[in-house]
Amino acid sequence: MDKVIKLTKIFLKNSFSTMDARMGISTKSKSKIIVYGLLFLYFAGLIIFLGYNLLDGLIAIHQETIFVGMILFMIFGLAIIQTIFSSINILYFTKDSEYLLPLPLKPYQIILARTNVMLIAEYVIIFLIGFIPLVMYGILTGAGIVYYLTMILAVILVPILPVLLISMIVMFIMSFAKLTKNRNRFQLFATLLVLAIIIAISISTSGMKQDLTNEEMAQMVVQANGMIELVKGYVPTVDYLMEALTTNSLFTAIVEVLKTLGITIIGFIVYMLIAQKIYFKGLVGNLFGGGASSSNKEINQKEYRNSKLYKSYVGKEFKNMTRNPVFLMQCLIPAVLIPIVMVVVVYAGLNSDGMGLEQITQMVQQIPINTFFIACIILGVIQFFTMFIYISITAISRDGENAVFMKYIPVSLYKQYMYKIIPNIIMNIVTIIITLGIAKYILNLPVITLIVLFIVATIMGILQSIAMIIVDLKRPKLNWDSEYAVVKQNLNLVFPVLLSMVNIGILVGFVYLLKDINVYIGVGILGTLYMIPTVIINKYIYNRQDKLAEKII
Amino acid sequence: MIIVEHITKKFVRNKNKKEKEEFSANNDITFEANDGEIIGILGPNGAGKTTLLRMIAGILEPTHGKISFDGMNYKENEIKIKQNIAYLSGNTKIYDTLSTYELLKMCCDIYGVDKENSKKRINEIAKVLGMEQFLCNKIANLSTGQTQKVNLARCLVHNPKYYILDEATTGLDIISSQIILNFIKEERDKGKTILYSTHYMEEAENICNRVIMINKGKIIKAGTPEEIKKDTDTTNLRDAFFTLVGGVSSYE
Amino acid sequence: MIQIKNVSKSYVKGKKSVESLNLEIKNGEIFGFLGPNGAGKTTTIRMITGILNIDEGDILIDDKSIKKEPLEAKKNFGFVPDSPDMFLKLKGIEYLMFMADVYDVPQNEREEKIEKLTKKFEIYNQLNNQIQSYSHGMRQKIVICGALLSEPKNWILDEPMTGLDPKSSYDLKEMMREHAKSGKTVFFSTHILEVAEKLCDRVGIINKGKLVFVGTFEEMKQKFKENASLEDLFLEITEK
Repeated sequence: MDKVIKLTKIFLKNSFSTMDARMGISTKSKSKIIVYGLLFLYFAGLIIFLGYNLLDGLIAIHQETIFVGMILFMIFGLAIIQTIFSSINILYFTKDSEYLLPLPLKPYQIILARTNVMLIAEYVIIFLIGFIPLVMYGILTGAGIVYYLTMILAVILVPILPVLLISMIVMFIMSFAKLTKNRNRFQLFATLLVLAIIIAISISTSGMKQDLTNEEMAQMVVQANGMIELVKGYVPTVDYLMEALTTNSLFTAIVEVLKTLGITIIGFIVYMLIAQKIYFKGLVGNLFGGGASSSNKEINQKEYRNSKLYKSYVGKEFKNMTRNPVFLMQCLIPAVLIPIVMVVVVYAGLNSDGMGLEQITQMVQQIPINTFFIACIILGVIQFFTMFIYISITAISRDGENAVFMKYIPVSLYKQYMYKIIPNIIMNIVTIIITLGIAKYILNLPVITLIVLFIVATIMGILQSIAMIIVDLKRPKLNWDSEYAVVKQNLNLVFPVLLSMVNIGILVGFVYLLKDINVYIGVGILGTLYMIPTVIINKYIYNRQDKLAEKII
Repeated sequence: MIIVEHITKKFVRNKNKKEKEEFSANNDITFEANDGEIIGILGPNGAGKTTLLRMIAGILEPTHGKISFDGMNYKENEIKIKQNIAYLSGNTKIYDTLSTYELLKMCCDIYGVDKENSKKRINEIAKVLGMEQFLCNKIANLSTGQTQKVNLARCLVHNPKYYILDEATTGLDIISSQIILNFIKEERDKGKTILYSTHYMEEAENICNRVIMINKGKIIKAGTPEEIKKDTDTTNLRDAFFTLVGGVSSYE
Repeated sequence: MIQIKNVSKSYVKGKKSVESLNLEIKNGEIFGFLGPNGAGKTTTIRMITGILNIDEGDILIDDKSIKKEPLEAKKNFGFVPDSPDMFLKLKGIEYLMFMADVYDVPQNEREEKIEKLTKKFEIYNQLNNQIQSYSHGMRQKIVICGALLSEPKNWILDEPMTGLDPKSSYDLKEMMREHAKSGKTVFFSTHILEVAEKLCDRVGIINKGKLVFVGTFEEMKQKFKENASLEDLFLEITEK
C-alpha cells in the first residue's frame, strides 16, 4: 500500500506540474494561480447562481428531492466523460511505462496508482459541480449533520464506478487494438461523441423558458422525475444514495450508504481482477508491438510535381493540422462547426416556443433589416465565432522544437509568418461564408450588403490573424510533448477572446453613435477603420521580423 | 549468471492495409552471461537487440524459450528477479518535474531501500558518477550527459546484480561516457553480470568480455572480440561487423 | 567556405557562451568540431545557421554574411539539426518535396535526386509513410536527405552520426568524403573521436566557449603527448 501511495504521488506531481517545470516558470506561477483562482471563482459563482434558481423553484413546489438526483447523475455523467478523455492517456501513453515495468512492483500496485490519478482528477471537478450544489441543498432545506456526512460519502463514492467502468472498457479495446493510431481515433471519436451530447442537451434544454409558471414547472418536474426514475434502474449507486440523502431516517441512510459501499467494493474487486489480466498485455503491445509496416514501393508520379513555395508551405501547415486530431479539433473544425451548432441551438430554442422557421423569417422581415444595426450584429456574431479558431495563435507553438526550422531556411521570416497566417484567414473566410449564408437564408439580405459585409468581416479576420501571430511569437510554447499542451494549457488563448470582445465592444459603440447611418456608409467606415491597424501591424511585423523570432530557439 | 535459451519473439504487423503478417523480432536466441562478465549485444538498427533486452528485463514475454537468473525465472520469482535488475534504455527524461534527489529517493522507496541506507546509497552513487553538483536541480533542466547519469543512477539504488543496458552512451560526450564505462567495468570486477548493447564498435571492443552479433533477429556470431576478429580475418570489430552483416567493406 | 570572424555570444549578461571565436573552413575540407556537452558547439552551429543572433563579429558562408544577407547565406548551406524529430505528420516524400520547394530544386532533377539519395540510405521504400512511423535512425536519414537535396556547397551537420547504425554512418561518411573531394565544405560536430580522427582533414576543439585547438589530428597528437590515447588527449585539452 505504501508503494501505491508513493507512486500515486509521483504520478500526480508529474501530470499536474509538467508544463510549468518545462518552461522553467516559477516566478510566473503566482499570476497563474490568480488566473486559475479567478476561473474557479467564476465557475463556482455561476454554479451557485444557476443551482440556486433551480433549487428555489423546486422548493416552491415541494419537489426539491429531484435536485439531489440531478446532481448525482451529473457527477456520474461527468465522471464518464472525463474518464473517456483522460484514461487512454493516463493508462497507455505516459512516458514512464517502460521505466515502471522492470521495477519490482506488483501489477496491482501500478494499476491502483494509475486509477488513483484518474479519480483525483475527477474529484477536482466534482467539488465544483457536485459538492457546492449539494451543500446549497443542505442549507436551503435545513438538513442536519447526517445529511452532510452522507453527502460527503456520496460525492466520494459516485464517481468511482464510472471511472472503473470506462477504464475497463478502454483496457478491453486496447488489449486487442494495438496500434498507436487508435489513440487519435479514439480521442476524435470521444470528442465528437461529447459534442453530440452537448448539442443534444442544449437542444433539449433550450426549450426551457426563464420564468416558468408553477404549472409548467410541475409538468417539467414530472418529466424530469420520469427520466431519473428511468435511468436510476441502471445506476443502483445513485438510486441508493438519492434515497439516503433525502430520507429522514438515520437507519435508512446508513443502510443505503452501506449498500452503495458494497456495490462499489464489488465493482472495485471485479475491476482489479480484470485489469490485472488485460492491462499489461495491452500496455506492452502498445509500447513495443508491431514495428513499421512494410510499405508499397511505388511513389506516385504526382508526388514529384513541384509547386510554388507559398502553396507548398501553406499545404504543409494544413497537413500538419488535419493529420493531428488535437489540432484538427481545435484549429480547423471550430470554423465550420461553431456557426452551425450555434444556429441549430438558437433555432431549436425559438422553435420550442412554437415558432417555425417561416414565422421567424416573417417576423424578422417586418423589422427593417438592411440597416447598420443588423449589419453590426452580424459582424459581432462573426467575431464571436472566429475567436474559436486557434490557428494563428498557435502557429509557431504547433511546430514545437522544430520551429527553429524557420530560421535556417533561405526564406524570409516575414514570408513565413504570412504563410502561417493564411490558413487562419482561410478558415475565417469559411466561417464568414457560412454565417452570411445563414443570415441570407433567415434575413434575406440583399446581395450587395452581403458582399460588403464579407469584405469588412474578412478585413477583421485578417487583423485578428496577424495580431495573434505576434502573441504567439512573443510567448511561444515550444517545449511540449503532447499536442494538448499547445491548445489546452496555453494562456495565450485568452488573447483571441480579448480581441473579439474588444471588437464587439467597438461594434456596439458604433451602433450607439451612428444609429441611423446608411448601412453601406456605416460598414464602409468600419472597414476603412479596420484597415488602419491591419496595415500598421503588418508593417510592424515586416520591420521587426528578425526581432520577433528571437524567442524561437 | 543469466541463461537465455531458445528465445523467440514474434510480432504481428500490418503488411499493408488489409493483410497482416507475422515476423520474428528474435529467433531462437541462446546464450549465457556469467558473473563478472560484460556481454556486448551488437547489430544494425532494427536487428532485434532492444526486443531481446526487453524480454530479459521482464517487460516483454517471449513467444518461446526460457530466461533464467541464477536458476530463477520470471514465472515463479518475478519480483525477486526485478529486485536485482538494473534496466536502462535510451536516453529519455522521465518525471522531469522532480529534482534528481527526489527521483532517486522515489526509486529507493520503490525498491524498498530503508531511509537511512537510501540517503547513504544516493550519496555514494552521486559521488561515483559525479552527480553531486546537480542533485538538487530539476531533471527538466539537466543536459544530455547529466540526464543519462541520472537514468543510470536510478537503476542502481538497490545495488543490482544484473545489468541490462541498452545504448547507455548514445549521444554522450567522451567524458560522460567514460565515467559510465568505467563504472560498468568496476561493477563487472565486483562479479556482476552485465548485458550491454551499443552502436559503437570501439566501445564494445574496449569493455566487453564477449560479444553477440545479431542481425534480422538471429545470432550471427558470438565470441570474444579476439575470436571474432580472428574468424573474420579483420583487425577491428567494426570491420568484423561489416564482414558479418554485409554491405560494405572497410574503407581503410 | 565558412568563415567565422571573432564571434562572441552570451545568453546571460557578462557570461559568454562563445568567446572571440575565429575559424575558417576551407573549400574541399571536412572539418570536425569537437567538445564536451555544453561547451558551445551547439551555440556556434546555431549562429552559423542564423538561428541565433550574433552578439559580436560576423560569419560568412561563401562570402555572404549571415548577419547582413541572411537569405543569400542560407541558400549556401544545408543543415542537419541534432534532433531529427521534424515534420512527423508529413510523409517522407512530402517532406522531401517541401524541402525541394523551399530550396528551388528544379522539377526535372527531383525524381532522380530523391531516388538516388533515399536508395543509398535504404529509406526509399518508406517514403510513402508518415515520418512519425520511422525509427530514430530513419528519421535521421530522411532529414539528411532533405538537407542534401539542393546540393548545397556547405554542409553543416550537428551530431549526424548519433543513432545511425555502422552501415548508415559509413554511408554518410563516404558521402562527406565525396563532397569534400569535389571541392566543397563539410562542417560537423561530433563527440566520437574515432570518427573525427579517420574522417576529418582538420578538427577544432571548443571548451567553455573558447577554441582551444585547431589543426590536423597529427598536429594535435604532436602538440600534446605522443602516443597518448585519444581519450586522454581530449581530456587533457578540454580540462586545461
